[in-house]
Amino acid sequence: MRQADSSSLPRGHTRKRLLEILNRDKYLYAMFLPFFIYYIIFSYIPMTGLVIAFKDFKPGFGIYHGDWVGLKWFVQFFNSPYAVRTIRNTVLISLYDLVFGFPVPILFAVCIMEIRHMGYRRIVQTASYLPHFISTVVMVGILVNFFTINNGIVNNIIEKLGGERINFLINPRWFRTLYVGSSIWQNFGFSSIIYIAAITGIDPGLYEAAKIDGITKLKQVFYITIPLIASTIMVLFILQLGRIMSVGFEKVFLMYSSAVYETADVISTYIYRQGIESSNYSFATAIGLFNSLINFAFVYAANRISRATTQTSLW
Amino acid sequence: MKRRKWNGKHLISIAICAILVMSLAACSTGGTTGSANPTSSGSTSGSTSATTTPAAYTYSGSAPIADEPVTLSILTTNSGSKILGFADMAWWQEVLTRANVTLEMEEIDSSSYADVVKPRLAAAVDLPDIVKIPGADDDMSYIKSGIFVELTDYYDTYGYNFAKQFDEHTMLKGSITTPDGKIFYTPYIYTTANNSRCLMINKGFVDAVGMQLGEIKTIDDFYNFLTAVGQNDANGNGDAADEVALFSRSGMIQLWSMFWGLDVTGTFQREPDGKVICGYADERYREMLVFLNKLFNEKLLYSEFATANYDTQTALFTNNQIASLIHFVSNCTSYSQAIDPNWDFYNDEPIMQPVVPLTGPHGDQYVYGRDSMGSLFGITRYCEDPESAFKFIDYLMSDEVGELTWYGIEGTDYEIVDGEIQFKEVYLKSEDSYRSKMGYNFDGLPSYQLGGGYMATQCKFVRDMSNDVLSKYVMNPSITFSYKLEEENEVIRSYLADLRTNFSENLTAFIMGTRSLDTWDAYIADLEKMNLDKVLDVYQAISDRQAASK
Repeated sequence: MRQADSSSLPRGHTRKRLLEILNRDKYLYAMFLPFFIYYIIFSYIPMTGLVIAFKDFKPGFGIYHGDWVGLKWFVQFFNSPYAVRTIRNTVLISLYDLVFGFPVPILFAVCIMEIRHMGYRRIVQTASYLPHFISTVVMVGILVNFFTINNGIVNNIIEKLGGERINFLINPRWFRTLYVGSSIWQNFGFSSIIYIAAITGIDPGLYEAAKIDGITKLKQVFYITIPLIASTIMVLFILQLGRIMSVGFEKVFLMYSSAVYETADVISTYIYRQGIESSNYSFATAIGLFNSLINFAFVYAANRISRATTQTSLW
Repeated sequence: MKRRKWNGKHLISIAICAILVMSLAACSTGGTTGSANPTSSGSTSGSTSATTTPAAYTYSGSAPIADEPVTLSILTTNSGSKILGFADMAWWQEVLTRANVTLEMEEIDSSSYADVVKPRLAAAVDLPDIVKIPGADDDMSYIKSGIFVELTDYYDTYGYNFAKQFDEHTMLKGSITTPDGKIFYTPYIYTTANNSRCLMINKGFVDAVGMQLGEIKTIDDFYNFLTAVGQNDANGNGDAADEVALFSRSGMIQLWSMFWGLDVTGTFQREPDGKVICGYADERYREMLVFLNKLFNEKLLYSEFATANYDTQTALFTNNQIASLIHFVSNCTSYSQAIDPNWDFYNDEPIMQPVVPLTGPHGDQYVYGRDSMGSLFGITRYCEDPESAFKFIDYLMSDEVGELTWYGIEGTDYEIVDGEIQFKEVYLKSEDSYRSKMGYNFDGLPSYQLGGGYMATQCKFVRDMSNDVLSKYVMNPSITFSYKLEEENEVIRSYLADLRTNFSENLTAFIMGTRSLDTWDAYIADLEKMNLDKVLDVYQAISDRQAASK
């Protein structure tokens, strides 16, 4: 992340300056090097496989063989009756996650920093992190057990309160709520760590001065805390925006069934059915490439807007 | 030159760097095969096999396949060997001993087999001698890629036992033959007449509601039974609301179409007049949906029929909550045992009883058979001795292997008395999953289901019912698997995946009522827009070819 500034390397001294920086930070670069190599080998080099999105790939012949078919698979996807639905579901689920899920860790971090008793604060923090470590399979298992119409605890409570049991798991209207709600519950604690760290870095003298001036707690939050962690918030917002077309496959796949395709079928599950179940590898790669390009466009746009409005950006 | 002074900070940085490198090296080797559980019988797994060329020995269909030991490697599912590894399955180990074969097995959980193996086949590197292919290679992509060796000549030269199997299962050879007359795979062969999918009813529930099984003959009679179950505490546990009148789990509700003369599970079927129809677009299918929707609305059909799995079914049986379901007749015995562990296999009638098929609204009366073609196995180009590999597979099709892997070992599991097989208690009681541990019903190798073997483990009632009654009503798929021409594959690849999504989604929606059956015409119109007619043309051509080849 960088803050916009006016410094720049003097011309003609760039190479010398670069060597100086490398020498000065050589241990940092040494720590960074394994990850760099890892991403080159396992993320960038495999990108050459994207070529099969433009070919009629046949297993066994390798990714560089097969006839070129141009944009055939992209056209086939957009002609599919499910293209609009899968894109819509992907965007909506991500949007709900962004709108409802993004503020929660921030609010939680602000609240938790107001807890005076350190022991209690630590207990609450630790308890809030724990769901993050539950695997997706276990998480969905818990969800099913809680919300099943037969003997699920939620339905038992509803019935005891005089209501009628609701078939949450096969009702399309409930899918997004269950998906987003469980994601928020599972991740808000862990996501708040970075905000807690940012709030911890705020000068306590500002709060003391505000207190002397008689500013209320709520106004302190809005006029001191939030503005001073705004850069952190913006960076994480940009990163989340870049995932708007990437709803996690595993959780949707475990939660969905034909009964809820209407709201649950996202691009990643459609790719799974086409690519793995139907062995249409080229078609699935083309959709995946389309998905990634849209994500990149969102990240780029968000980065530009953030730089223009808040002088904070990823690059 | 100023000598650098190493201090603690430098050492800590280097240590952190070293730890990160080591942890990355460990992480990057993980997760490539998901839930793969490589096992081997005595040698390292995953390696290509080193085979010995058998000396001059003529294989003629019986063991051994060669007089010198042969080592083969195979990638397959672990179905049936989850309780005990393949290396400990005594019946199969006896097969290997007699065949003079050492098998290096790489087993992957069947639930994730396709997801793990498909990418491996797409990469086509480092494959073992024999691979159980995921699916049936419908579009012949693996065949065209040259991963697998052509077996046509091997069938002609060494297919002694295969010849007998093809005589019994007349459509099978045609199914695995490509349009240009070549064969690349060997099948696992299902029994078709002896293990049909039929309606089974909880006899205890029938008695509890004051009916007789013999009274339940038609769809209407069955509806009356379900209604009675829904209104009574049929299992007598004090809770009148816990009974599941009609149970179904994910992917099984389509079996109900057989009472309307349809084969919706196969999607396409050939009618007596030769015309191919799509079951999901037929008026009779709509009638079936009306019936099931009624059951769902009246809470007689299990509310989670679209999502329930085998574990749910097991739990409901253990609590004796299920009144009826459609499933393989061979499961009646195990379901009865699950309901009542004290149920007497030798003397009591089964609790879950197969019934004479219901007569449907149009007079159809069927139980559902199956296509005899099961999983397919191919011999890869990495195999150094494909001839021995094929001989071994042919031997697995023999009577000797069938009896060994379904009846067990003579003297231990059964005896021959006056020419009849008499099973011993250890086999019939199968305590602690004895039969499964020995290798009963293991489909990880290219072999076959012995019809008598399936029924051998059933109580007399079920055995007699299956052999003498249900076998007369079997409806096998009218269009079996067969390879398609390139242009046919193009149509199927373009349209069938989306059509299947539409079928399964609307099946559930119509039954649950989230989509009204009044929109049936719109549903049919959508199918037409999705080019169902083009796919129908393809299956018409396939069916005509199959009919002509009989």
